Amino acid sequence: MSDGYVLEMTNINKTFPGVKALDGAYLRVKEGEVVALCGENGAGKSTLMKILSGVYQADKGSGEIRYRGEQVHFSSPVEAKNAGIVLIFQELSLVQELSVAENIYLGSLPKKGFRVDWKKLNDDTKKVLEALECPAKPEDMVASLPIAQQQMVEIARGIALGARILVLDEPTSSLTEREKEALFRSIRNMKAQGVGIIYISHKMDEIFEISDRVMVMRDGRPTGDFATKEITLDDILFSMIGRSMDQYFYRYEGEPGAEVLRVEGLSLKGYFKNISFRVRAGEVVGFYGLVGAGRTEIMETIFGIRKADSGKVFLNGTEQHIRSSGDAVRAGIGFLTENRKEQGLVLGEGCRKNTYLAALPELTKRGFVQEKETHRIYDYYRDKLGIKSPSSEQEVGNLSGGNQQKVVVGKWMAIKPKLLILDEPTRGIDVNAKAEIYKLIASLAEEGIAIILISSEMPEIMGVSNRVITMAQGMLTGELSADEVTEERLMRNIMITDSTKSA
Amino acid sequence: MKNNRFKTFISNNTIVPIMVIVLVFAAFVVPGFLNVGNIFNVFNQNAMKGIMAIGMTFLIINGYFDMSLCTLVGLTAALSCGLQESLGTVPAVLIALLAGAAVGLINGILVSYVGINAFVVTLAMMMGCHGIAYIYHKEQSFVARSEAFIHFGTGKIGPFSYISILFLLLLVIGHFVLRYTDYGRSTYAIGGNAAAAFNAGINTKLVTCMNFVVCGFLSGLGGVLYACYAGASTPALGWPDMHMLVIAAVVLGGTKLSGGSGNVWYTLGGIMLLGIIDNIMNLLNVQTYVSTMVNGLIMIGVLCLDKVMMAKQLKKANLEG
Repeated sequence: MSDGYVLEMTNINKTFPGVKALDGAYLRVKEGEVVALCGENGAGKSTLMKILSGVYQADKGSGEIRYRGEQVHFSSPVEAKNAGIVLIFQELSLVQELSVAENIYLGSLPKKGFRVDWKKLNDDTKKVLEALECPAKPEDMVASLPIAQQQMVEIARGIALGARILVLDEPTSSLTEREKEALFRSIRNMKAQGVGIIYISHKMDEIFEISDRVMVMRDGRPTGDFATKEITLDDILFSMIGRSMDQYFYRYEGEPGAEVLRVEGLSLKGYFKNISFRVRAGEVVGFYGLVGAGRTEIMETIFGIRKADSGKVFLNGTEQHIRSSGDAVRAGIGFLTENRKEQGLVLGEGCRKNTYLAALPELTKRGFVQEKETHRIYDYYRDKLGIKSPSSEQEVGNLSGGNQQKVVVGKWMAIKPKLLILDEPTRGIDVNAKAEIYKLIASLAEEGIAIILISSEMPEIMGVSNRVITMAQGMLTGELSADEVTEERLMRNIMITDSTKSA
Repeated sequence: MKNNRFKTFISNNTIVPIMVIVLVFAAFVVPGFLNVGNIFNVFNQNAMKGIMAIGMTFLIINGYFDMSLCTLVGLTAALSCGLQESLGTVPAVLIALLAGAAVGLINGILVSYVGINAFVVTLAMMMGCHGIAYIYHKEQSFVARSEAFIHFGTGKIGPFSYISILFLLLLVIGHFVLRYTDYGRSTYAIGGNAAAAFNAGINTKLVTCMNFVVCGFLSGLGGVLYACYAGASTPALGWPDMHMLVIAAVVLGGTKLSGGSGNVWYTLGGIMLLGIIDNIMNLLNVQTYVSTMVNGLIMIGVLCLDKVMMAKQLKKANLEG
C-alpha cells in the first residue's frame, strides 16, 4: 500500500449545502516530493487542504486519508499540526505585535517549568532563520519587517514545527526574485530531508521550476496528474479550464494616439529617483520590477496619495498639481490598486454602489445622489464588462475574485478616465477570469484610454503590454517595445543596480 | 548605540517624557506639589483604580474592553459591606470577589463562546449590575462593621497604604503572567491576530473568557477595596464613568486599544499621570470639570504623539528593508 507515499488522500467527497465542493478528489505525496496543486479558484484546492488539516471533515463514508501508513482523521488543525502536517496560508497569519521568535513558536513556546524560556526561544529561532537565510532577528517585532521577510517567518515556522508534510499556498506572492530563490533552496533542503511538500500556485514558471508532479483540479474533481518533466504549460492549462488556450493574452495593436501622461524627473526620497516616462492614448505600458522596486509608489505619487519631492506630471500636455486622490479623479486618472479587497472595494456594499463610488460627485445634484442615473451606469458597465452578479445590490464581498475586479474596473470606467493605472489587476483570480481581464484591457486601450499596467507576472507583462518599462531599486532601468521584450532582457533590467544599494 | 537604545525606549514609552514634563511643570508652578508625602499620597489614592486597571490591561491586550466595571464596583462594594453582619467579614468579602469573577465569567462566555459583541455585552452587564446594586442597597448606604475590614482600607506600612502594597504586588504578578506564561503570551497573540493564534493551536475562546474573568475579578476587588477605604458602600460608587477612567489610564500608558501590545507598567504610568494631573488640579483649586476636560485633552495629545512616533518607526523599517 505505502509505495513510499507519506500521504495518500483517496476518493474524498465534500458537500456543502447546495454545492458539491469535492467529488472523488485524491492526492498522493511521496517523501521528499514536491507536488504542485493547480486549479482555478473554486476548483476545490483549498477545500481539499482544509480537509487534510482538519478544518473541515470529509463527507461520511467517502474516502480515507492515510498518513505515514496509517489511516488518520484530524478533527482540528492543531491535531494535524502536531502530527506534522503544516499549512502555510496565503494570507499571512502572523501576530504583528509579537516578535519573530514568538510567532515562529506560537502555541508551542519552549518553557522552563511554567515560565517561557526566552533565551532558548531566541536561540532556536536564530538557527531556523539562519538556515533560511532570513536577515530578520528573533527579537524583531514582526510589524517592523518588510512583507517578504514576514513571509519567510511563516515558512520558518513550518520548519521549526518539524513538518513532515508542508503545504505552501501561494508562498511567493509577495517575495522578490532573490527571496524566492532562497525559498526554493530551503524547499529543496526540506525535500532532501524527506519532507513531502504540497505547493499551491498560480505561477506556472514556479510550478515547472520546483515541482516533481503536478496535480490539477477542476470543479472539485481531479483532472490531471502529471510528472512535471513530461508535460508542457498547455497540458496544465487544458486540464485546469477544460478547453484549449489558443488565445489567452490579448493585446490591442492599433497605432497609439496623442500623449496622455508625461512624467518628468519625479523623485521621492527613499522610494524612487528621477523618473521620466510617457504614455500615449490607446497604449498599454507595462511596469516590471521586483517587489519594492518603487513601481506602486510612483503610481501613488501620480495619483496624489504620496507627495513627490521634485518632478512634474503632465496630463494632455498641461502640468498637473495633484495633491489628493480627489484631484486625480477630477483630472481623469483611475487607479486600480494592488489590493482590491482592502483598497478597492467596499466589500459589504452592493455592486451598483461600488460602481458609482468614484463618479459620485458627478452623480450628485444639490447633495442628492441621482439613484436612477446610478442604475443606468451600473447596468451599462455590467453589460460592457460582463460582471456576473445575481443582482445590482449583491454584496461585492460575495462575488468571485474576477467579478470583484471587474466591479473595480467599472468604478474607474465610470469616471471616464484618460489614464487608467492597473496595479496587479489579475492577482488572485482564476485563469478564465484572467483571460477576460486581458481582453478588457485591450478593449479599454482600443477606446483610447492610456493604460499603465503593473504586474509581477512575467508572461502577463509580456503578453499584454505594448511597451515595458523596467525598474530596479527606485530607478528606471530600461524600456522595451513588445517586439524587443524577452524574459532574459527583463530579468537583466530588473537586476541591474543590485550592487549599488541606495535610492 | 546607547543613544539609540534611549530613543527606542522613549518612543516605546511615550508616557515617560510626558510624565517628566508634567512633574517638572508641577514642581515649579504648583505650591505644595513637590514633597514626598504628596507623591505617595497620589500613589495611595490611585491604587484601587490601578488594581482595576491591571485587569483591564489583560483584557485590552486581548483585544476587548469591559464597561461593566463601573457598576460592578458598586455591587461588590455593597456585597462586601452588606453581608458582613449576617455572614461575617471574610465570607462577605469572598462572596463579593466571587460576584466580580462571576460577572466577568458571564461577560466572557457571552463574548467568547456565544459570540456577541463585547461592547454590547458589557454595556448590558453594566446596566444589569447597576440595577442589582440599587435593588440591594435600597438606595441607602451600607456601613462596614468590621474593624479589620476598615483597618485594611486605611492602614499603612511606612508611606505605603496596604492597598497600594497590594497594587504593587499585583503589578509584579501581572507582569510575570503576561511576560512569562503561556497564558500571557496567548493573550498577546489573540489580541494581535486571533486567527493566527487559533491556527497555532491556542484555545482562543478559553483565554479570552479567562481574561474577562480576570478583569471582572480585579474590578470586583477594586470595589471591595473602595468599601474598605471608605468604610462604607454607596450604590453610586463607580457610576457613571469609572470604567472610562480605567480604560483611559490603560490606553494613556501606551497599551493599544486594538489589542496585541502593552503591559502593566504602561498602566502604572497611565494611572499615575492621571492621578498627578488630578492632584495638581486639586492643589490649584480648579473645578473638577476642568480637570476632567484637561484629562481628555492630555489623552488626545498623548495618542497623537504615539501615532506620529509609530509612523516614523514604520517608515524607518520600510526603508531598511
